[in-house]
Amino acid sequence: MKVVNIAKDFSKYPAGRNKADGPYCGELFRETHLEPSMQDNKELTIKLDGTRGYGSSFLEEAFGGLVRAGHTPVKIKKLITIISSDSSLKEEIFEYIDEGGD
Amino acid sequence: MYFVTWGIAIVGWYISNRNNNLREDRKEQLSSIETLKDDAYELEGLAVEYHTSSSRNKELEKQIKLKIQRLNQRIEIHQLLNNNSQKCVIKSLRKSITLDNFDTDSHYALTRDCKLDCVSAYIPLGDKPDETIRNRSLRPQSGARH
Repeated sequence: MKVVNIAKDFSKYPAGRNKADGPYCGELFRETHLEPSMQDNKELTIKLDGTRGYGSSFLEEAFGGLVRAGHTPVKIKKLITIISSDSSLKEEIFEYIDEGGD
Repeated sequence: MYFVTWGIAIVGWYISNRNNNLREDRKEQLSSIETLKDDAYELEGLAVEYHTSSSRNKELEKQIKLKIQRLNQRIEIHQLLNNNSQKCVIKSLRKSITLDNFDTDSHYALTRDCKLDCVSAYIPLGDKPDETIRNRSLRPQSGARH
């Protein structure tokens, strides 16, 4: 199982929705870290701790965007495991996965 | 008779000590609530400043995200809310400030009279901690703030 630590493997300052918003946006995170595992049907663990906070726009684009890209919420939840000391982040992400297509 | 006297003294000391501990505990809780309220109001100020500004302010974006994170940690450390309420409040707070028109170059200024949902998101913080204190059987002292 692949493990992605956002603070170490992506950025301590993840921010923004699209690439125009910044270099470490949700769209880029989805394309570089989430999509490959989803395409290969491989399990992925995401560690959220260690960054300087998350904006909802980043989370929505990264995880809700997976649903808009054609992956079903059931498949996403089956393959992706979220680890965070802040349980509100985990809950918010699952909300975006459930509502991603809306 | 000798033992009765000592017994009464020990029981008296125990009750007095217990009441002192409860009073100190309550003082600490109230102090934490006050700090939490200050942090929440400060966050509100930053959010209003950010969203009413006509241009994107990246420094403010970082501050706001960090403040939300710290607010969450403070609630957790002092156990001011139960787990479900905390998740709900922090999630609503973060979404109301950072979901739309945030961390984006297409940022636009909202008007002063525009409703920001963050207000309704953190109002429960003022009530729930008191509920938590009551649930811990800490009786309000006379003259204590609520």
